[in-house]
Amino acid sequence: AKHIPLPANSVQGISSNDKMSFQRYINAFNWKDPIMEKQWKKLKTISPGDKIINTLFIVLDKVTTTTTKEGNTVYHMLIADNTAKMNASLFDCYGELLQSGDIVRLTGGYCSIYKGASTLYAGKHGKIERIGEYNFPFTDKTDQTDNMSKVQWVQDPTNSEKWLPKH
Amino acid sequence: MNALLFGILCDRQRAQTFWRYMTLVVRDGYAYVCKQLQRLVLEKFPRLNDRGAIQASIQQAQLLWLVRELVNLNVQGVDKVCAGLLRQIVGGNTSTLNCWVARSMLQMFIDFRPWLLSQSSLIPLVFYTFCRLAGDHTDPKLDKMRRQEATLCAELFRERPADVRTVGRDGIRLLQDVSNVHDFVGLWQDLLNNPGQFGMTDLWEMLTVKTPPELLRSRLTPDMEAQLLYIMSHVKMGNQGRYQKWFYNKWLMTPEGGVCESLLADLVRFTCCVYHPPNEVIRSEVVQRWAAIGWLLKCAKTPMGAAGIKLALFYDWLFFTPGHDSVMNVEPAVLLIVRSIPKWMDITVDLVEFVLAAADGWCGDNTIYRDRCRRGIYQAAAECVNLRVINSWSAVSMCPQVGPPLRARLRAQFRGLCKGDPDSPTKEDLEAFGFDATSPRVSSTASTPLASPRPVDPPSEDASSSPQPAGGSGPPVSPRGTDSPASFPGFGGAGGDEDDGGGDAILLSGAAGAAANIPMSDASSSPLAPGAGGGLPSAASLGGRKSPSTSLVFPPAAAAGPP
Repeated sequence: AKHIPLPANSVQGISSNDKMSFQRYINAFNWKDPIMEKQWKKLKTISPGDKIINTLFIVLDKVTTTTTKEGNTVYHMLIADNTAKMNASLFDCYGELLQSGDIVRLTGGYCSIYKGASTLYAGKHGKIERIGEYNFPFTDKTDQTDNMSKVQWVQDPTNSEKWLPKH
Repeated sequence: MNALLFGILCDRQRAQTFWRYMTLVVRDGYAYVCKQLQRLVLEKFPRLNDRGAIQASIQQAQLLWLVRELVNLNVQGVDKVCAGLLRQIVGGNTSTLNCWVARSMLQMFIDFRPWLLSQSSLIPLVFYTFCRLAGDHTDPKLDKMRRQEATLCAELFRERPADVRTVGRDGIRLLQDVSNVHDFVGLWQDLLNNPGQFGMTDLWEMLTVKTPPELLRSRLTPDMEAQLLYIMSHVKMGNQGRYQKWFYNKWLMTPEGGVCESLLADLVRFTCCVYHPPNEVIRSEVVQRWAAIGWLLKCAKTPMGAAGIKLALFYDWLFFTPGHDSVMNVEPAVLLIVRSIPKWMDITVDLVEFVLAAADGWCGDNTIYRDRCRRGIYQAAAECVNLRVINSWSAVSMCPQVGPPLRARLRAQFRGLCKGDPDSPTKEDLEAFGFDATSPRVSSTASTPLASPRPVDPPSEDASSSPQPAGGSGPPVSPRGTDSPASFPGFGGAGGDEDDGGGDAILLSGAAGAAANIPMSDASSSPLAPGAGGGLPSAASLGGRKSPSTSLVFPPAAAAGPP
């Protein structure tokens, strides 16, 4: 999918109530309330096949780049929030301009399996906003127990759209 | 007003017109404009430009132009805007953009010198900033700027000595760092030989003045400060690796792959003196100050940089006075020494060597200062034990990795503080190091006004007896009956009647080379040190700045392995 470069000033203005809600969301381990009329997920609750994912995370590391057949560069990076880490693949300018340590708000992303690891994508309708840097709590266990991308997934036998972690 | 401000900042062609409209429309003496500019400067100045930009953006250039116009009109409140802009100059960074900001501010202060001389709150900050920056501008291309900085600082000191004196001890530390620069030599010499010109009888007066925390904080940009404080307040111990890496990549890395070592010293001073966490934070699992300083210490790549950091870390120790200085400035160093003991012994040994060498070597040949420094270090160490920062210095003096000569020196310096250490310093050791072995041991905690000091050991008559108290309490009495400063073991009484023989420097065999590097000037105010006169050998440090053979303190044979 081709990606349109971000227009300037695309960071959405938020009211101060929403700012406070986001501050609580960033530190919480479960979150059910909508903020800005959207549902926000923590990384731990994301499974492959989820569509329209809204989440806040920080970029830990930019690992590699690959190129797709259409000529888009894909940047593979490791992202995290306070519940989990996972892989993300962002295209073109999104991936190029984000550096490690950037805090990102993703709206309209989706998750699928890429080479056996669940990966978060921004997609055609997804929007990435860099909202800050550095001041973000994240989990970073050395034994990788919090890394969602290391989990093995199997398809749910009852519902081919859903995936379940292999136990 | 907001719209006019926006127009001035963003639209270069019409900025003059907008400025004219603003002068016609303004009714509150530009107070609102100054407030907005202050917010912009403190929070948004780097973001007015692209990340990784090399040149100043239009907005930044226009901002500086507008500030110049406001200074021209002598608007009230523009000094705070200038202070904010000075904060945004990154120390240790000689990129084009940073130098441009520094140069513009410098030019503005030079052009509007009468205005600057009337701003007594801004003068200490300007002096401090440009003394600090002059140390970074070693590139020959920046020569002219450095000369201008030197002239400005010298003028400020001569015209407004009262204001610049409030800068205090860190001002002296900075001047020491640049004292070898040709243009600062005159000022430095005057300060040492003729302090009366600046309204003080002795350089020591300025050294006892604590630098105001706003000045120390001003050398960190607001972003840098926020990131450093985030590590020390929100990140649990053990998780700080990534944050440290990002901080390093953003602020400490130079394009050639080296480290901005002068910035490390600023960060250490900030952590020790400006950020004093409350007890809850100290007791929690968050990264502690000593851990952050340990990381900064390990970042230094050259011995000179490491020496600068260590001096910054122990600087308050040299002049510590119990009632006047706070133990919070001293605590990170103590904890770093003691907590590194099982796992990072090299840090402990390194720091202990440094502090003991600094006690003797920092002030060159001036024995009065040397005694005062030793006393300061003793008092700092005593305060730590008193306020239960650590239980006793015996943890350090008993560790096996501390070599015998160093251990002897440590025991001599911290006599009475190494509870639990069975060996006490022998008479021969004390005399060899220049301590008075005959005076009775007196704790220097008599003047601690702070809450809950533990019961102090009563003085014992025998100087080499074991340091166990007889269980008495009550404040010890100085044996000479002097009031203050309280007499402390082994040093001459107040006024410098020297008991030590010769005041010769100590040989620290087995010293790691890095410990011997104390960038320090030579001369003092007393008419000694003939080397101080002509041919100032450029802040003769012990292997620090220039070649080790110019060191005036350690006899050349003893300069064990300086770089």
